[in-house]
Amino acid sequence: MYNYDQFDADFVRERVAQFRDQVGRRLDGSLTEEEFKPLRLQNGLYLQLHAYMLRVAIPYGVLNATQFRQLALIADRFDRGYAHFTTRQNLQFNWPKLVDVPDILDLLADVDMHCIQTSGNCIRNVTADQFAGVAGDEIEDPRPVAELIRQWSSHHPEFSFLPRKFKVAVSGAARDRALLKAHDLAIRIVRNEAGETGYEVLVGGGLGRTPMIGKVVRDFLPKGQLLAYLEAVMRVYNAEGRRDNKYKARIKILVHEIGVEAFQARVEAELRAIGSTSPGDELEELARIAAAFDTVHYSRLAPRSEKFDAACARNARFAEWARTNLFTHRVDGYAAVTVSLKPVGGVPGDMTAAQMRLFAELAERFSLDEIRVTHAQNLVLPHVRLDDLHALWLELVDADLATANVGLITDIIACPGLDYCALATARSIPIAQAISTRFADAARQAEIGPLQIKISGCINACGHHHVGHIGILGLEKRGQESYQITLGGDATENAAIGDLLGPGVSAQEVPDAIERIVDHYLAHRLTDELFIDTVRRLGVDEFRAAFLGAQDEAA
Amino acid sequence: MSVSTKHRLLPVILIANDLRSGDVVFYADEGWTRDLGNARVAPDQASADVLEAAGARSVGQQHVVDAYLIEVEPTRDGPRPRHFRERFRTTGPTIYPHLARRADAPAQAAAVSE
Amino acid sequence: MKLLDRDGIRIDEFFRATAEDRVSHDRLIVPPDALEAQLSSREMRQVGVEVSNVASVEELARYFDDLALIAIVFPAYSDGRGFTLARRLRNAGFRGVLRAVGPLIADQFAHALACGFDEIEAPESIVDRQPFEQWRRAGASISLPYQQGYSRATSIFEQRRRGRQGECNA
Repeated sequence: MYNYDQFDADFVRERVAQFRDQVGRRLDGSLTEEEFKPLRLQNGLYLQLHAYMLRVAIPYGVLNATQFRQLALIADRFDRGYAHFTTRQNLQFNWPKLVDVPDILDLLADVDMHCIQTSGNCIRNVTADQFAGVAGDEIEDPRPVAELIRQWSSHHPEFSFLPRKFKVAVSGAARDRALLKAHDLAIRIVRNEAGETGYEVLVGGGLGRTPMIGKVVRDFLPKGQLLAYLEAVMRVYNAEGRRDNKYKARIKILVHEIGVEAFQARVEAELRAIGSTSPGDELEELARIAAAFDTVHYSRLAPRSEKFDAACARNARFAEWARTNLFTHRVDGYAAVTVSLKPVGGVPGDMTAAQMRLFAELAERFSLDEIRVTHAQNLVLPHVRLDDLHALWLELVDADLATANVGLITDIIACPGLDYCALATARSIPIAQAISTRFADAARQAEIGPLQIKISGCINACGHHHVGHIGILGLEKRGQESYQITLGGDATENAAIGDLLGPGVSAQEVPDAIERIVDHYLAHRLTDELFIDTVRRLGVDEFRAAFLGAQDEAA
Repeated sequence: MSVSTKHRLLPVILIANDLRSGDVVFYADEGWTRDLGNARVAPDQASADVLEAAGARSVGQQHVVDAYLIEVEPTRDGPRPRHFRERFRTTGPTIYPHLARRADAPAQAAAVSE
Repeated sequence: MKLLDRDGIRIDEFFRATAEDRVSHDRLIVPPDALEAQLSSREMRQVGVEVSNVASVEELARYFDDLALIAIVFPAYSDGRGFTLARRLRNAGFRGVLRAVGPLIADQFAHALACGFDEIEAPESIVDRQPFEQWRRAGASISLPYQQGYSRATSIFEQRRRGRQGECNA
């Protein structure tokens, strides 16, 4: 955890007081709804189909138990006893009242949390690899630089009224678990030939109506120069990003229209205009931030645990869960545990206040008081002793949190869709529920292996459907909900946009359609070949033929 | 957000969100209500215009936001929105039956100030 | 339109004129195409120019020494290009008065001042709804921003740096 200093704490308190004042001025008519809307969005407050929705920032996905308990308290006191984890490491309350939001923000500030810039046309909540500081393939922990960006971008005087939203992600690892290439700007910590660490900067990724993969604009930016570089990028975007069409306003369109080289040239010109910077000051501030993170006190443990091995041998269900939900920790004797929020037939990413309170206790008992949130709408207990895994699992089983499906076909990402969202064109959650019910059988899931299904309820693609191995997009067609299916997307360092398989199908037909795709894979895969690899080897056309052929038969 | 502002079929009702609570509300003879069954149904263009004007006035007075007309079909139980989006708005999330909107639910019983 | 700055609502001493106007005012704001003519008239005047938010900094820089004021038009309050243009003009060395013209709201006062604006010319309908007291309060709502080099006041990053250097005992 990053520990706020007095400056951080005062800033968040002032932001709450500022919003309380804005709400008061909205209610007395000083602010019209049109004027108020961007202000409330920059504090995470939407007006959705049934109610307001408040999106809480969980910067780079890191929480402690005290914060988690506070979220549970808010869910009980101001909401309807549950909360929803999103695809950008945020948390949403679905039923707050406008008049209560300032009080909710004060409760968040009590535990160093806020809703700053979780929406609006500004620099959004910075996300990161959920295994930051844990993964063995990491060059450097990305959280200090993510925190530096969070602070630098907060209430920015120049970049708070951008052409459109601006999403930033950071990773320090070789493997991409943070969806870097689908972000407006992404930073990967890399090492150059001289052995120095610095930043690779990607710009112009994004999903939505025109999905694009981010492009490298700087392959090695020396440390200490990041904020000046970000300022230059943002200034070019703020000045030149399109404002005539909301769907062409993201930075990806600007980069696409003028080309990467022209964009780089503009950024370099802007850097020259900014003039001399003080890399030393930035390095010092980065070091201060890094030192303000809690030190994790690991015990010296053996790399193997007899207790864990014995429990696996004794209990097949536990062994199955361990096989799917564990991630190798860089420290001997520990594992990072992904706790699935995707029970069969459940709502992806939802958690009750009671579960949240129990989970906070488990984080304290088993994970050195730390919790992570993933963009796949799951949670992570990042530092669990192998010796403790079985005891933890028993507790999770009691809380209905032991679903053994991480990375499998029922670990589905789904946006809230038309059950909550004012922008949605169709429902997402019931589709996820129907698919996960269809593929509930654990043995069948294991046989299918890693397969990511991602569902969005509109073209804005909050459910990341473009980069799902199988993507599902809900639209309206002739007064009915209709679902387009794409194939071959990839959310990793090999990021790819999926191809459309054919005409949309009805909600009822989706599980059958998914099953046809999966059956085709099972019938044609090579030994141990993963779903995505079979799709790449055979090509989407062959799957399309299977998909369409069967559709004709059904018709 | 209006789904069907053009070529609107009659009859219509006026829907909005209460500014303070965010609750979905409908325009009724005695002001705004959370009970769809009490919504005032405009069968012709003239009464639809009256509804629309009432909505604009209410928005200007900071009572509701996002007021717009939706097409309905009359049923024995009252007006039923024609579009599935608006039907979901009037019933609540389809995924949690216990969160479905009920006009008489305690949390939503208070009349909206007008 | 009403003009306001840090201290309150002010009387606008500048008069808007075109190239042809031969007016007696000694302070003029003219459109870009009238700038050459008014500057070359050799009368003892303060001349300002009103530009769109996509104006070229390089072209304006040629007149920096002669310009008393640059007014940047905000077509909508959600259009933040004017903030970047102001910042670029200050970076390029403009020391005259910077004015934001358009439907800005009280809650953008702090942004505008931090980016280098001195004054706001906003529609009466907004200033009537949002009296100066609201602008003053909104402008002061964040006492210390994070970003260095924007506000005339100091920043959080700067305060921390001084704390590290032991210059700040507070």
